[in-house]
Amino acid sequence: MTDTLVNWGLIPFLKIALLLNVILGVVAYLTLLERKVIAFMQVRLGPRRVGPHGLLQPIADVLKLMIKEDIVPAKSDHLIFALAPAITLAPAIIAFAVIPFSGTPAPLTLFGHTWSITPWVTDINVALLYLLAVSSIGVFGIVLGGWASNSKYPLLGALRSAAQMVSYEVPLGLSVVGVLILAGTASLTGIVQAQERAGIWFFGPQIVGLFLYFVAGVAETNRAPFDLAEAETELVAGFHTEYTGMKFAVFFLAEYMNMIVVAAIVTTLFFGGWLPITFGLGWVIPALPGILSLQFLGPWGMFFAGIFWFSLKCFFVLFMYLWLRATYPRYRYDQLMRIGWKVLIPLALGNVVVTAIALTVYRSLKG
Amino acid sequence: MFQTTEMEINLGPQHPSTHGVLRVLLKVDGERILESKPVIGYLHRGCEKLGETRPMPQVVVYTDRMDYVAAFAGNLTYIEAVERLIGLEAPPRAKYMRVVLAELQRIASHLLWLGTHALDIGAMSVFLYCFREREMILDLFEGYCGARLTLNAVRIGGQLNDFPDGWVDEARRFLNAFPKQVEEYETLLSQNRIWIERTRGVGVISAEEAIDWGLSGPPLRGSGVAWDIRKSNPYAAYADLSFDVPVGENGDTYDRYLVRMEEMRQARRLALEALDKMPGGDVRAKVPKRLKPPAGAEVYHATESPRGEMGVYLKSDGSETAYRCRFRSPSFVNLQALPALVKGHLIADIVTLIGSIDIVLGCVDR
Amino acid sequence: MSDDEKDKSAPGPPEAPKASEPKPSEPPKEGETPATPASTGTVEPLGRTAEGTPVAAGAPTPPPSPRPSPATPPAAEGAGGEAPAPRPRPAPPAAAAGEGAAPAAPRPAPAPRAPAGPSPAELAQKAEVPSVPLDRLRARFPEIAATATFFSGVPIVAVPAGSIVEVCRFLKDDEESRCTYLSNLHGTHYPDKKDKPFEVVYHLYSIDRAQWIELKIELAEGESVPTVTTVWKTANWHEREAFDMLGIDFAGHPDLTRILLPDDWKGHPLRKEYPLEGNPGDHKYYRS
Repeated sequence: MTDTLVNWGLIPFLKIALLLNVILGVVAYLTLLERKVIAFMQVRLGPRRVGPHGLLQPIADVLKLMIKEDIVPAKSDHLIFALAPAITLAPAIIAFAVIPFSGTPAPLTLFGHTWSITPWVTDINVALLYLLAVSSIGVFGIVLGGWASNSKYPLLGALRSAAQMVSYEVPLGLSVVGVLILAGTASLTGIVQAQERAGIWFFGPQIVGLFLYFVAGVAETNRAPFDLAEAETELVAGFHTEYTGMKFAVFFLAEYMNMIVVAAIVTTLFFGGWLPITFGLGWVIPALPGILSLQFLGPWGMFFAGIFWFSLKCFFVLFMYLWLRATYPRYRYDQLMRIGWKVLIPLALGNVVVTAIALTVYRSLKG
Repeated sequence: MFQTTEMEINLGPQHPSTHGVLRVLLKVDGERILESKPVIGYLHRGCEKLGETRPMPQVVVYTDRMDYVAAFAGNLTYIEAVERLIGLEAPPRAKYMRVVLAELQRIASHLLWLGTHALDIGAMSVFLYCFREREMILDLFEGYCGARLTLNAVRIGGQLNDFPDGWVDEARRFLNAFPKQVEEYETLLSQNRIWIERTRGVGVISAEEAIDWGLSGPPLRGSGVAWDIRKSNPYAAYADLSFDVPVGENGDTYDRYLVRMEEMRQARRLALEALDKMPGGDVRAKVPKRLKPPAGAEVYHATESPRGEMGVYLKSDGSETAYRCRFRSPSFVNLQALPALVKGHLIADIVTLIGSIDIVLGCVDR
Repeated sequence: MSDDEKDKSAPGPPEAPKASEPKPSEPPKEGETPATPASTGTVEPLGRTAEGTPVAAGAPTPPPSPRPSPATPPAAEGAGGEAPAPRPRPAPPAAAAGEGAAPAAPRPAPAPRAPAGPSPAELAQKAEVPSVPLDRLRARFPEIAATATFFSGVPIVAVPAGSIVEVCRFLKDDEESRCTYLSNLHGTHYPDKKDKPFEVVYHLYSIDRAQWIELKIELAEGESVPTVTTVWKTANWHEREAFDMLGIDFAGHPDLTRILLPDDWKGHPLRKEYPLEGNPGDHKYYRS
């Protein structure tokens, strides 16, 4: 009885608490990383005054947003106005529930009992479907936020954003079908294990899928070059024009958390999740992957090694996000829709067909 | 069953990308603009009336502040108008110095235009790169006349001072390194798919319509009309210098962008040539202590400022103060064509077009 | 010219400051505030009121300056046409400014105190240069083109208000002149010209010929001039500004409203009697 309670109640609760704190910290420091990276690309230095090299800047930002005056437009719909940021943030947070940060569960012995700590909150066998469903809910918050503001600019921004996110859901979903076909399972841990078994990560055979998923992910998270929903120079601030203080901070957090979710999914589906980076030397030196996953340190070693490799790859994808933002101009609304519907969806469908045919041929050749 | 209404949006005087306090009233159907109406006057400071109450040598400082991005162009136009009025000609060295400074100012102004235009369209990094070069030019100006923005660098009859020691070398160093920087901007933008999609076909205006609207400068040349006052009615030392006038074909935003990029290169060429050919001698002619323009005389002098035709009309009553001082500013006239340019485009394009026409509100409102 | 005078008479330069000394003290005698001349720096009022606007006829004028009267040289040079009738007092500059390009038979100069006749430099400024638009105008509207004068290479033609649209359209459409570009349009106020105090000036440019031509119209108070927005679209905002600043009415203009000032502003600032600092009651937000 206590076993069930602990295994299904306390441990997940603690994991969620830990994960939430870690993710919020990562999100905060992601804002600093963005400012620094973009600054260096723009021949300047970024924040450097608050703490050494600006390391306390996110803390200052959070504090500032918390103590700012909360202005609510008089004619707005107060309840929805307050709920919209929460509706935007919640799907971003719960998406982390199925993401595997490492590969091997590690045993923890306390008070005479041994519990197995899995490096994920839960592992369901429809994880990919769950993720797609959850990310679609995020659109609601934006639309409601824009509508409830009762102001023209947020309305325009919200409508643009809603149309954009809905249209890019389709290529997002279609682009992972190739991975599904190759892995044979929709469970994220299963997909990484399939990559481990195959010895090759899916960004090789599914390069088109990777490109499509990443582009659709950038559009889903309203980031440049698809950030016209919050284009400062056009709509002042789009759907979050009327938001101040903590509510604005929540919108902000939600955006960055969505970015991390997309990065995590890209890592898991295409870059081998927690598997160590061997540059293909694993084929030559069979012991290399084991050494790099710190097998000699036992399960806890592998636990943390997996987290390390996973985080490294996530940061690489996030760097791509920032790089895109610093480099490219912004697409116009109609061009964005055209790309989503007329370019990405045919490519995604083509990818599915080609992958299916190639796999069938490969399997029949293998016998 | 469904009823759609048009929405009236106000691109208010406070807006991140209207290049100053410009208000544009938009009537939109969804995203498509049906009508637009610019409302100006938020920066009106009465420069024309001030020009009637101060002696002509003192009015020069007001010309800095009208088009504050290209202050030298305003200075030069006014001073040359006064010189024409009193029948005074600056010595050759001063004329060449004016060319050097004017072309440096043209490069600085176009750099600011490029940075803000790219920023409006979303390419943030170009803004920082352009300002890096602009800082070098502003340092040059500071070395010459002590001011970075509002230069007041011209005097009636010539220049106040010759170039300081080492200034010419510094200027040459900058100008020689400049083409590489222009290439850097071009790699980021000119062949960029997104940039081309955002600017090609946006705000097309034909040559006849452009002339009818009184457009001048790059908006006119982008539509294919090869008119540059430096070539057609040369002033300062432009008659002795050789340069090309870039002309566009389609009259859209992309062509105006290409015209201005090429103008930066040509400005560099002019400045280098003027530095090479600069004669020695005085930098200022003998100017009477009290200016005595012929009473009843009137003159309209126009020069090619980075934004277009900058004109100054002076009517004298024989005294040192002009009786009527009229500033014909290029931004005022170019802005008038905005409703025609933007009709039928999307809201995102109006910001692009305001940037493409390159207005400065100080110039519009005076 | 003044350089020569100064060189010839050694005590020349000191004369100027001495003679000007009465000036700064003179405004208090007239009851004007002395503060404003000081605020304009080293400028002598030169026959203007403390606000800097030219003296209207009838206001007290400063004592005669050592310079020759500005009114007489124009009459001597025949600049731009007939000078106004010589005034009994040393003429304030407003009188000299109150002339336009009127048709002129040069009148005999009243006894000039200035060096007689224009200098060669001034003659050069007024020399006629070849001008295709003016030639075409001479062919089509000879009586209008007869009023033409030149200054600094630009022909200046006086046009009656009623025929401005015709003249402009002719100059624009004519194959030879092709003045397709309206460069500038503005108004000026001459309060000393009692019958026609307003003047509207047009600057036309021919891109093909690279030549300018200036047209002027004289208007009475309240008289309206036909709009040229039908000829060039660019005239729209220029005419609105002339209306805003001077109150000149353009008949047929599609949208003659204020452009630079708020819509509920009262008064027209570029008129000479309008003070530089504005009037207290002009706008409800104006603080006097």
